Order: sequence, then structure tokens, then C-alpha cells
Amino acid sequence: MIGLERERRWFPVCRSGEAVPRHVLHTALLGQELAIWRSDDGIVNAWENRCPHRGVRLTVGTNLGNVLKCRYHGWTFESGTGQCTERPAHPGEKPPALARVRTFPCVEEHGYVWTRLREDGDDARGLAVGPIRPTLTLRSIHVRASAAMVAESLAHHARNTPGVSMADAVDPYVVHTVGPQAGTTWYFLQPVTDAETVLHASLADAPSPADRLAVLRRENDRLRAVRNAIEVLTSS
Amino acid sequence: MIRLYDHELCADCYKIRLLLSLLGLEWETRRIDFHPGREHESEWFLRINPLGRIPVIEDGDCSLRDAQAILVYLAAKYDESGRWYPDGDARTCGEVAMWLSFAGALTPTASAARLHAGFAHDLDADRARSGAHRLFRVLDEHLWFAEQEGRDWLCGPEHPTIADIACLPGVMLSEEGGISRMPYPAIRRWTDRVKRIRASCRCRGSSPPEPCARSSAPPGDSSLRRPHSDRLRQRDHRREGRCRSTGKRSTTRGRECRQTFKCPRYPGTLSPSGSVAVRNIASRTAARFGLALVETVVYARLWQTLRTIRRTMMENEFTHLPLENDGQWYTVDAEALCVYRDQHCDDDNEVWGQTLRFAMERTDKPLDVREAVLVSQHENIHEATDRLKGQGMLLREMRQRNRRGADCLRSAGVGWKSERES
Repeated sequence: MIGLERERRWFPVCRSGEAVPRHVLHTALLGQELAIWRSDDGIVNAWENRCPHRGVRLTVGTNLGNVLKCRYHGWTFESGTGQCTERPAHPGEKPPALARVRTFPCVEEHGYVWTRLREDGDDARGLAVGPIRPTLTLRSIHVRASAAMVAESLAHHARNTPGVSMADAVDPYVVHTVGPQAGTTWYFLQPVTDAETVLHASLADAPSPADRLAVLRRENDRLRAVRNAIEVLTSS
Repeated sequence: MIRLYDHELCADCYKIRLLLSLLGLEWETRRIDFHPGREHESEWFLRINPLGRIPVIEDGDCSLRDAQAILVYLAAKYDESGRWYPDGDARTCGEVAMWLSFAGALTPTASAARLHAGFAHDLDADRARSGAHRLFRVLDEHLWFAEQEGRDWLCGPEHPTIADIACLPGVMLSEEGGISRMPYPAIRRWTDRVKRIRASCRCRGSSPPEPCARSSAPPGDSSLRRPHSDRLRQRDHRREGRCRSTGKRSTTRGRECRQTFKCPRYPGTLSPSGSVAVRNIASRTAARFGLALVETVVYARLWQTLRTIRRTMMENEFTHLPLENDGQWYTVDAEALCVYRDQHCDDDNEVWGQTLRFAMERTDKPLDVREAVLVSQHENIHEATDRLKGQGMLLREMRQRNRRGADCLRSAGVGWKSERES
């Protein structure tokens, strides 16, 4: 998939539950660093991780509920628009319209926060998962390998596990398998950079509350093994 | 008194200072010149700690090395609540010890990478960084599942323990060693929580409300070793709108008080536009409390140019501007400034302090400049303004004088408006 197309596509950047209030989450998509934060009214923002004033990372700033405050000069930026609302060194003055953080479109769906780098053109492929919906989001795993490599390894892993069937790989960033133990599983790949990927995975079948932690741990162990296998390949 | 052999930039020393101030203890700092002096390898320090490492504490006849051991000692001896080092339950004991040892493992990895980057220590930085990433992955996974089980901290209890304190600095400072925490979202959430401990402790009253431990530092370089709690006290003062050094409440409130322009220890250094802002804030604040604004005081500084000083006076319609020179306070007369400018000064951008010194040194020159400029001499700004008030000058009169001064400047053709238009 070439550059422009990739930038129009929706990617998951974190689990919804991990964008906690009064916290700024640090991640990246296709080499673009992002600051993800949830305002007190529940809206999630995906912003360029850079203060428009002096270029400091906004992830070292503070989430004040309805504004994000940069650590360097204390400029505050409004949830939603990214417009600067206050500059402590110029009290009482209206900040210029140019003092605005670059924002990216952002939705919450299937238990993840999704974003994309370009506003124009719509590519709904990332968000469409088919008739069955994911219900249990697993722990997202950080892998030091390209997304293509991770997708290939997941497919390889599925083929070599007895009883697991895999849908045809039509999408380079989504792998969809059906297995005897975990049931229907989605793997959504978040290409952090060309050499790093976050592997988001979720299951269709929600376990009972009593089993939930055990399932999370079991699946986490499995994904960690997959991750280690991929990294052995890339480092050799 | 507890004595801490300390280095300000050392992660291991930081956790000791953190716990000391969380427990509200007072301590004495003995600064070790870790870099570039390598004092921790000197003969005298090796007698205190043969391993040649900081931190070390001495409490009475007890001398302890190793950051984790010191944390255990301090919590066991001084924490009356018994929460920081819970020793009742065997499992909790084991967990705390396990994470203390994990914190020890951060030293040759995360902290070593930082030593390499910041202090040019000769070591294998790539190895240190990959070691740190391996540890961080373990920590991130542990914390993620702790969150899923509804726990916020490293160990079992529902409150932070010394294990959290021990692991924080190595993790928190890792980016200085080139170890990004971007791949570890659960760690980043945990560091946020640990950094908020102080507030939560204060709310629950589980530890002394506001530790204000001030280190009794040896004379000479006290500014180098302001203890952690001292800095926090300053921060709280700032938030409450008090002056940083004296702790006095200022006349304006909240955010505006960062410009505590009436504090004698930190006289404000305001630009002309800043002075207008201050006046606006002051008038808004006064209006909010139903008071009439009598005056705002703005300083002229020696490094300001004549142009900016004049603008300050114009914008505030001041005739008299307080001015500090070598700790002495003078008031400057606007009319005299105009006269001086016309007669003796070619360059409007001349720096005020140089002009003043020049005028004072040239004794062969007629003394009109000095006499005109230095209307009166006072110890500080408050006395200067009190004196003006004490002369029985009514507010109306002051305003009239101010207006006259502004008119005088305008008619002299040196108004800042013409500057702006040009």
C-alpha cells in the first residue's frame, strides 16, 4: 500500500480503556508521533505530539481535563480544536489563531481508539470488521519488526497450529483467524514506524467474568511467544 | 539528624530524598562531587562506603549504603503508619523485596545508559539500553495486569510502597539515556500515579500533610542543594499566589502572581507591555473585590533602554518611576528624563544603566543630570511609594501629576505612538 493510501486509512492507536482521564498517551503512527488524551467530557483527541510554540512533545505536558497544557511555557490547548486558549506570559491577551496544534480525526470503535493521518478521502477498510464484532480486547503487544513481517508471521503461525483456520489475507494490516481455543480472533496492526509495530488483538467471544483474567493471561502468553519468534527472525 | 551523601543528578539519591520528604523528615546533605570530581572514589569516601557508591546515609551510629537498603531502613524506622514498608503479610514482604531487587537491576541498565549519555562514562551503552528494554517489558506487563486486577501499584496492598519509590527514578529518567518509554503505556500511566502520591497522601492524611524539611546545608553553596520538599513548597506557594521566597500572599491572585512584582527579594523585571498587562490584571482583580485601584508599581531596570523605560511611563501615565541601582532605590522623574534625553543622549536605544552610571561618574559635567534624575533615594520600593503617599499627596493629585507627566512626554515629541507608527 503506498504512502497516500496508508495515510487515509484508519488505524487503531490504543485500547479505549487505556486512554484514561488526566493522562496523555504517547504513541506513533507511520512515523508520526501522536499525543492521545481524553478530556473530562469523554472525548478522545489524537494530536500531533508537538507544541506549535517551541516544538516540545505534548506528551510531557499535563491533561487538565478540558485543555492540554504544554510543559515548556504553559500554553494550554483546547480539546477538540487544538486551539491555544491561554499563554501565561501574555495574560488577558487572545492567542493568535495560528497557535493551534495539528489534530487528527479520531473515533472509538470495537474497543480501540482509531485515527488516520489525512482528512481527505475515506478508506473504511480499517474500521470494517464484518458481521461478528470483537468483544474482548487483549493486551496490545509492541513488536520490533515491520507490519508486513508481523502479518506474515501471524499467518505462518496460524497455518502451523492445528485446528486454526485463517481468512484470506486481503488486508495487509488485519489478520483474522478462527481457532478451537480462542475462537474468532482479530489482529489489527498499528505500523508505528517502518521497524516497529503494535499488535492489537481482540476476541469475538467474551469469557465469563471469572475467566476473564485467565483468558487475558493465556492469550498474552501466546502473543508474547509470537512476538519473541518474530524478533528472533529480525535480529538474526 | 540524618546525613545523606548525595548527588543531585543521581537517580538512586533522588529516591532517598523523595522518601525522606514523603515521611516529613529533616536531613542534612553532604554533596558528593560525583562528576567531574569523582569524589565517590576518593580515599575519604571509600572509608565510608568501600564500594565507592552513593547514596549513603548516616543516622546516629548507623551507616547504610545501597539505595534500596536505605529505603527499607527509613520506612521501617520512621513510618508510623507502616504502609510504606508493610511487613505483616509474608506475600507482601516477598513482593516488596522482589521489586526492590528489580529496582537494583535498573541501575546497571537504565541508569548506566544515562551515565553514558550525560556523564560520558565509558561503558557498553547498547547493552545497557537493551537490558533496560527487557526490564521495562516485564514491568509494563506486570503493571498492565495489575490494572486489570484493579491495583494501581507494584505490590499487593492498595497503597504505594517503597517498591514504587525505588523503581520510579530509574524509569522516569530513562529517556535521558536514550530509552524511550513510548512502547510502555502501562509504565507511563503508573509513573503518573506515583507522581501524584503526594497529593493523595495529603488528602488521606496517611503521612504528614506538608513536609517542609529544609536541609541544613554547609555554608557556601546552599543554592545548589535545595531539598526536594523546599522546591515543592515553592511550587505550592506559587499555586496559592504567594511570593516564591517570602511566602507572603500577594495582592493579585492565582496565575497573575507569577509576576509578583511587589516582592522585595525578587523585584519584577517587566517589559513595558508586561506592565500594562499587570495593570489590567490589578484593575480586574480590584474590580472583582469591589475595590478601587490606587496604584500599580512598575520598576525600571538598569538593562532596559531609554525607549522602553519611557514607554513604561507613558503607558502607565507615571511621572515617577522607581529604579534600582546596586541595591539602592531611586525615583526617576519623567520630565527630567525628557530633558536628559534631549540634551545628552543621541541614541534612544541606549541602555539605561550605562547612561545612569555615565552621568554619575562624570563629575566634571554639570550636576543637573544627576540632580534631575535622582530625585530621591530610598531603601526599597515600598518605602519609595510609602514616602510618596506620606507626603500627603492625594490620589487625585497623583493622577494629575501623572497626566501632566504623560502630556509632557507627548509634547516633547517622544511619545511611543510615533515609534509604533514608524
